[in-house]
Amino acid sequence: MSLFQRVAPLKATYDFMRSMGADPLRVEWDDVLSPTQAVKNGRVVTLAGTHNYLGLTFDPQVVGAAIDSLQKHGAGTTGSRIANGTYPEHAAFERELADFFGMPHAMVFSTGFLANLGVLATVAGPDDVLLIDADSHASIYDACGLSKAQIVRFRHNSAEDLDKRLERLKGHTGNKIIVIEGIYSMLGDRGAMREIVAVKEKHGAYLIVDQAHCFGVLGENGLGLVEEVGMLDKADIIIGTFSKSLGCVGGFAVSNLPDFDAMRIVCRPYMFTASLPPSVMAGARAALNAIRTRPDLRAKLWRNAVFLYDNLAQAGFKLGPEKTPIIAVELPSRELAIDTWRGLFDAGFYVNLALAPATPGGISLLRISVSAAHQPEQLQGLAEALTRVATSNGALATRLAAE
Amino acid sequence: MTMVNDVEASIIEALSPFRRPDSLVTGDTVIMTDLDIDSVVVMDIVMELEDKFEVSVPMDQMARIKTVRELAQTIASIRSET
Repeated sequence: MSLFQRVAPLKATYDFMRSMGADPLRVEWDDVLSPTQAVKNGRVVTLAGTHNYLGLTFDPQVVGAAIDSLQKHGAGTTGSRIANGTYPEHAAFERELADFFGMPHAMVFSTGFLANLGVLATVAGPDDVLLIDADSHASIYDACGLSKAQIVRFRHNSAEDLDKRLERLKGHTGNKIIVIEGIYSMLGDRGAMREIVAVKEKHGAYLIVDQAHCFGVLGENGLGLVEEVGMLDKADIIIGTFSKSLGCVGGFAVSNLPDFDAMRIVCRPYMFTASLPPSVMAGARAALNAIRTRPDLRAKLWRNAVFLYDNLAQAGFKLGPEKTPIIAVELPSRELAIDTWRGLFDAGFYVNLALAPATPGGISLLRISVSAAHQPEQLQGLAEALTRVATSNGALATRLAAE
Repeated sequence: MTMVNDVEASIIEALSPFRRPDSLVTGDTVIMTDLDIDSVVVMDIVMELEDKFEVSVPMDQMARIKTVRELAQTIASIRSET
């Protein structure tokens, strides 16, 4: 049997996309000009699928800090922190992040994916149960695969379903660890934190919140959903990434748990991979400072998100349930989603195409991510192009007829 | 045995929409390879079965299950333990 026989159905979906003239998973840019513009085949394309929420990738302070550190401390660390030591940039970032959350512990990982993998697989032992939301990110599912714990999946955002599943575990003596996300990456809806915290407390469980898509985005100070709902102290561990609002690459975990630092000597995805280059840490530190000191970025992001969401809703598209910077546009079929993605790309706009099995309920989506760096005319242009493409290929008419 | 048969009948009913033309879902059907179904849909169907039979089938256990009958036996066995 071929080594890839197992993945034949996924390969078939990918081949089908390519047969329709679209290759959304392998777009190669000729150049990248700014947080919202890249070049493909000599034409400028507006980027609206890169989760660059605050548009900090080209921020002069972020880039400047990275350049300074690159010159001062070199291109890479050539190994992990347990083997090669901690650079001043790692330590400073961790101190400032912990201070920002008002928590004693902050720990940096080399990517957000590794943060989920490392935290979940380490805290959940063989006698424990990880209870994960059905719409969890791939890194959470893979963490479950790495963990020796029992894995229970509950219905998306349903505290009631979680409660029922915890009831069934009544006699179980190990820890119960609930995992939710701040904003879910496919439909852009918030985690039902208040309701889930009530269930967590009822059953004496722990709660981990992955804030990849909401750090820097939600809450008065940008601390994410935990801040927005006033429950900073209710999450036992908060996970995040540098690769979205912070505009760099990396992951983190912050916690109030007294012995959290034990993670540094047991968490293998932290211990046995190279630490982030100091220049990345310096850039992320400058971006963190921007989140703390420039609330106007967040205000602009939300103005842009509401503007685009309202425009698309008015045009008749079926959108995700909440107005957030992730705007999911549901298309009536896989074929129409692929065709609409291609038409939009040809018109000069890049968004994400998401199909089953990556989507909840197997629906077909175009996923748009809005940035504070988008100009209103870019978003207006995107809404018009999407409406034009979806009208000409019948996607919008099919959708309206189904109403 | 009745319990296993009941569960198996429910699984066959839930999986039938995903059968390939000219084939039937039976106890011997290998869920991931004999049907036109993806892993997320299987997890969603298992969730329905969990509610119907008031059990939790841990995902780590699911990963080892191949056939309809194995799934039925697992659900029946968890059910009998509770």
